[in-house]
Amino acid sequence: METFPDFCTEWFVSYMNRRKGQAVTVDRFERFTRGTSRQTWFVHYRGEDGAPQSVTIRTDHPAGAGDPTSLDQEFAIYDRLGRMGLPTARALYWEEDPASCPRPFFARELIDGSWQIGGYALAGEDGARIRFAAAQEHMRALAAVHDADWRAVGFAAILGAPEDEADAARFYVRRQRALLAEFGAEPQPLLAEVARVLLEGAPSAGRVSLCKGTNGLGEEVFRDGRIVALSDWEEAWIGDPASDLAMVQGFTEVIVIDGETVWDLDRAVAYYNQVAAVPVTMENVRYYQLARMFGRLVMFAYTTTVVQRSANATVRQSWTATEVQHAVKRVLAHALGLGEGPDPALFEELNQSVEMQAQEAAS
Amino acid sequence: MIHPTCREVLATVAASFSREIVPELSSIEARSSAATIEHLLRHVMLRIEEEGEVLMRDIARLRTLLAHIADWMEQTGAVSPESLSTALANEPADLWTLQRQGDEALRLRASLVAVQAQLDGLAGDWAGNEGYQALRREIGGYIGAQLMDEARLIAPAFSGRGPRR
Repeated sequence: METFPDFCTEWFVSYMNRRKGQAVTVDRFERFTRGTSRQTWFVHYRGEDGAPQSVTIRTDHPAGAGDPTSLDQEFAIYDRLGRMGLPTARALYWEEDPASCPRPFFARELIDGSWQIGGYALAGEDGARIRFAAAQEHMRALAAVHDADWRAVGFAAILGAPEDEADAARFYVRRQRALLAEFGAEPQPLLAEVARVLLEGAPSAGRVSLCKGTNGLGEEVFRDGRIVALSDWEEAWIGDPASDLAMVQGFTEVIVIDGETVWDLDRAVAYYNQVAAVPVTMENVRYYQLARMFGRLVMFAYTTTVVQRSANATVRQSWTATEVQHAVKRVLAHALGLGEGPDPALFEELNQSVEMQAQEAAS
Repeated sequence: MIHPTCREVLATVAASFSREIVPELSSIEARSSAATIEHLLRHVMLRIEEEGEVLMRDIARLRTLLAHIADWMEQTGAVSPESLSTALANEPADLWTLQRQGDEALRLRASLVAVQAQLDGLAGDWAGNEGYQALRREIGGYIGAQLMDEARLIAPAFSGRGPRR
């Protein structure tokens, strides 16, 4: 089989022909630009019968993923999710033969939908109602994840699990520390200090569940206002569901309708508690706001090692290892009373992208 | 050769990149990478100017902090200060390059992280000790001061200068 330095249309045609025995024509081979931890391509193609088909290709960056968990673990997560009845893209196949691909990858279903929600950014009450509905939909989806039976599909075999509810928070910290030791991060006194505080204040969980990790706006696939696929599971773990409520992108911000605040973090947690089988406490949510930031710093410490060991690391990984990592350190230090936090406006800046700027200019 | 300095050369690279290359880019992916490169070039220029001073100050702070901890260990007998004293005695012959300054700061930070673990282990018996509490506060003070120095290498290069990606 002809070798290719990177994933591209020609590689896909060759791969499908040689490995899958299918002659295909590619209509579009698109790189998803939002993701930073790994690379994602959306492939739209036709088989010999001319029927349109599509697939998502997921792989590490050439120098390695931005987070310390492995690609095959992510494949195993999707494989198990597919057996749980949750809205996720089904894992299709794993490939690591160096003669067949530039680097290991897995394929999963491409779900029709978008991380963008129509009308979400509209000013006024119309936009507020759309944001409110999307935020509630997201809370229902998180509750479904937490209510699902992770034991039945063997999640503990790939993610480990705490001994019981009382061990959940300590398990989270132990897991992060084990990752640090495994990839050999540079010594950071701040990480040691945060770990100590987290272990001293570790709360018991209401229950032990599959937790999604990264979640919220930009991480899930919506269609017609409903979540049709929950994506980005690289921070998934088995533990306290409060950890998912602690770091929700976008969907816990204040929403005002008819002059009344209808949504914020407190109301989101209250709504979640109505729809989930077991409630979470705000106390635990607050604890995991710190713990998840600690997890992010561990992730960025790993990204630093990727940049350190290879010039093929992406410039975005260099940025993550510098400005983003520094911002997270400042948040953690501030939470411990060790220094000034970053300017709150910084996080809005960090979320801006050239693509968003282009879309705003076009609208 | 003194001039053009690294910073001066990089400034021309950054300006030419923004003026001649970026406007020619059409795909979102390329423009996104270009935006990141522009930010990182400013960051590197800043580090060329400031990082030596920041690292030397970090090394001095760490040596002072570790010496205080070693003294407390010696005075109280809570734990042997031997490994810490050895780390402090192993001072490099020179710190002329950024690489050596970085290596020395990392070596001393590794000693501090090891000491933090030792102090954690002593908390059961010593948490009420005034000297122990003072050391904990001093460690916190070091972390805060080091981060504010790090901010000098970050904020001016990125903040308020447009999308990063």
